[in-house]
Amino acid sequence: MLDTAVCVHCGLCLPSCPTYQETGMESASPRGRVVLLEAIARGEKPSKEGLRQLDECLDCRACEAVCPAHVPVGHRVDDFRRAHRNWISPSKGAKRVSRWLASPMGLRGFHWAVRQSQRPVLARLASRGLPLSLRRLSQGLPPNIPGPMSRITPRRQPSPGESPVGLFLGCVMDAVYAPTNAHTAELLEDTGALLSVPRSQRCCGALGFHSGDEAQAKRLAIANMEAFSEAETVVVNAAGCGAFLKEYESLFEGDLTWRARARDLASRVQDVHEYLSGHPLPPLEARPLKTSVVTIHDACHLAHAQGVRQPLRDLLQRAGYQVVEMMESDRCCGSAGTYNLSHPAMAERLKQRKVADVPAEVRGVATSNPGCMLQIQAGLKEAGRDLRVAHTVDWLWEAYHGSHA
Amino acid sequence: MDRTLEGVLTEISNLIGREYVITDPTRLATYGSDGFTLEHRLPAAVVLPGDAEEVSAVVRRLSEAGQPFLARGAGTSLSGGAIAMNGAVIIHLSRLSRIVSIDLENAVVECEPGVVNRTISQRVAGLGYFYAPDPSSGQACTVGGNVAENAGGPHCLKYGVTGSHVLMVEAVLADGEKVRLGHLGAYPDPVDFLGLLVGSEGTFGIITRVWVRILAKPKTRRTVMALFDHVRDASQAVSAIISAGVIPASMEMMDQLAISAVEQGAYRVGYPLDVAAVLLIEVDGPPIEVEASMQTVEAILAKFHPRSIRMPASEAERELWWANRKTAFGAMGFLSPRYYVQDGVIPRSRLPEVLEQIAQIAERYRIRVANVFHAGDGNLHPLLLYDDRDPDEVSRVTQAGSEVLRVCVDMGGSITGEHGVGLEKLEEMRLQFDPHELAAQRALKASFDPKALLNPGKVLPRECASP
Ligand SMILES: Cc1cc2nc3c(=O)[nH]c(=O)nc-3n(C[C@H](O)[C@H](O)[C@H](O)COP(=O)(O)OP(=O)(O)OC[C@H]3O[C@@H](n4cnc5c(N)ncnc54)[C@H](O)[C@@H]3O)c2cc1C
Ligand code: SF4
Ligand code: SF4
Repeated sequence: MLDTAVCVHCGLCLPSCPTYQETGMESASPRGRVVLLEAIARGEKPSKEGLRQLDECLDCRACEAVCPAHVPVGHRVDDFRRAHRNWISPSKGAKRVSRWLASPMGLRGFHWAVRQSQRPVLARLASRGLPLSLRRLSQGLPPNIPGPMSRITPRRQPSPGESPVGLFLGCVMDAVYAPTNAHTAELLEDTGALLSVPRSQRCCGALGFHSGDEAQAKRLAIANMEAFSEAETVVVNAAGCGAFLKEYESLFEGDLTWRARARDLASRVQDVHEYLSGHPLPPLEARPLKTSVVTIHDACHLAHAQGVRQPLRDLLQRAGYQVVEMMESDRCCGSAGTYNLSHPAMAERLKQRKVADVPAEVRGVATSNPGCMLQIQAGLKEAGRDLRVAHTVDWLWEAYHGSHA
Repeated sequence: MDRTLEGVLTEISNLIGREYVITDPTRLATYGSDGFTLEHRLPAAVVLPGDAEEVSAVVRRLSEAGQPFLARGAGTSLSGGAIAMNGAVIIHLSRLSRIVSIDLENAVVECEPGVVNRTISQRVAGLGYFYAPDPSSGQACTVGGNVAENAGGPHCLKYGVTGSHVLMVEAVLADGEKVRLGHLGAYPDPVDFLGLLVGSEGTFGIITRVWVRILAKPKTRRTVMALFDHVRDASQAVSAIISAGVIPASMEMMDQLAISAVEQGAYRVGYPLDVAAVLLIEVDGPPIEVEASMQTVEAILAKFHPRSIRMPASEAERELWWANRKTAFGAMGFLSPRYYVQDGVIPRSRLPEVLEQIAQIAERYRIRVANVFHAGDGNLHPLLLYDDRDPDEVSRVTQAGSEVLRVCVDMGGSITGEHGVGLEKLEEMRLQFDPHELAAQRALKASFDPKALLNPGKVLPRECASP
């Protein structure tokens, strides 16, 4: 479905592209990238500089959302990257990190590592060995990462024949932001949902897929399709995971059985904001909120890839927050999966641009992807701004269940 | 002084920063064309100055070295205006994208040329204003490019094209000198130099700052959609509405093939795919006036056998209808790898005849043509579909395009309404102007640009040996 349309060179996508905004260069624009990809497809050998700008694509999909012909530029650059690993010699670090993260061992290790990094002595020791980009990013970590990873026990177990609402936990989400998962679970149950958190679920596979490990992505996809086969709806709170779960079908080209199952899963996957905004929540906790003015950063993989924008606003307002919009709230913050590790310079520029857009009068930023949360929090800290970045669900939970902030 | 290009580019690098001078062929290739894809030329280099001073300094260097150059905004030109001919250097103005000031007292916005058209309306919407020229490419094209092409748009039927909304510009002339043309007062200059620059397609100077007029948003706005089983009925309805003395803010038409494309695009209205034409009409102004005009419009539409007439149920639906219309060109990507859009203008009353002739031309050259146009002011946009990998089809499409323009001129119209002559319609200029008129235009160009460095190979066809 994605490959039907052809780029007619209209240029309508240019202003939406973060790397074009940042550089002003056609060669760093979606249309320019299509031209480069077409030249490569004809057998032309691109220059190093050209490849660098092609590879600077964030896969943020902003262009895809505005293209009148639905040209999937982000997807195409990503396909190219995976097919030509050797050409662009990706930063080995980024590649290793994503593969390792996607393994169960790695997840536990990652969780251990981020926790250790918060012990003063160890943190200093450890950070010396880390690349600057990672050190910067670790600035964005929440102050207290809880010990055990999510052990959410639903209030009631589904009886046979009942179809529960499945909660997808996500790997980075669960390692760094386990409370957000707990809050999501609690709010889902508040709406009366019969919750299930299958133990057999795994990382969505996006990180591994983008770093070139398609086989691993397939294995994880199959594991998740099995894990959620009973769920009526699969609720996801990490934008990147949600988008990837909805696209599992493209992993199984030529395999009709799994394609059908992937389509079936996709039809049941819902972003947490979509789900909550369609269901009644309990009356608001009467206590006034300490932080009542917030702004929203629309995560790329929510706004562009899944088209979800309004529900965040509706939910926050229903919960008593005043939402002050930032300029271009859906411009990528530069986090983009492991982009901030593989392309630190561009990621840094986009982070600063994003932070500059956060309105002065707000007390907090609401967003919906772990990468964005880390990145924007780190940026604000560097800029000396004492603002809290939290998942929309966290802000909501505080309104409905009393704040601990 | 004659210097090598390399030397000049080094000087420019020192001035504006090395990262803003592109000479790498792979990256230059992305600048090979604009919205017009029948031509593809590598510029000698691309430079991206950061402000007007830098533009002036860059132009001075290039001019001294006798090196041709041209400005580029967003590269959405549909006539190849932003394609570098004769190995020219592209001066890409994307970094000049600041809105400098918003003066509500005088309703003037001062901005740099790289500001995106739609941004102006977005920035003043909260203050109760809008910027009237709304080319369908408004989400991307730049104010500088709009002034250069004197861009129009669906809502220019009532409000007039870009030229009517530009009060003053600052421009860098061919030798690097900076000038201001026009002023902020209500009356035009006795000699309208500003008017000369507007629509000169970047051949007279490089615009580095623009002062545009903004208008108070109309109190009410109503849109009506009419579906027709015959294109003739739709076009007769258009003429009848104007004859009745109603000036809608816009009146747009799409034919069946165009509808089949937009209905696959990002904004689907749900048009039945078997209608021959859809007419979108918007009326705006004070409530009483809008009410009266709308009644007239509906009564007239009803006379021309519409299959149905509809009002949008909500503001969101109204916006959807217009967004759908505005993506018509881009959505051609669903029908064909490339399209070649024509921009002829004809007297409104000849619409039915001309559309029939276009259909005949399409048949003769065995190509598909979708029609999208600003029906209200007789500005046609036949979209000739082709595949650029088929050389025979490319040549058929070029000839068919030229014939369409001949029809427009024969009907008493013109070869371009808003997309400009560029490099696309050079030869067709001869259809519209005789050798003396062309000579006068050449003389004017020479007085602005004696060394013929600015945007070479555009607008004016080469002098024939024997006229
Ligand atoms: C999908 C689509 C829909 C369109 N719809 C419309 C429409 O409804 N109405 C309409 O009028 N046009 C339309 N166009 C054509 C195009 O968008 C306009 O001509 C627009 O004004 C070009 O602006 P730009 O910034 O892209 O300029 P470019 O394409 O970059 O340049 C166009 C010309 O202007 C010159 N130029 C650019 N900037 C400057 C400057 N600062 N100083 C001097 N010269 C300069 C260039 O040298 C070139 O000759 C459409 C195009 C597309 C792709
Ligand atoms: S990718 Fe889409 S929006 Fe961008 S130039 Fe191509 S067709 Fe136009
Ligand atoms: S996916 Fe994002 S970064 Fe990549 S070309 Fe599109 S808009 Fe630009």
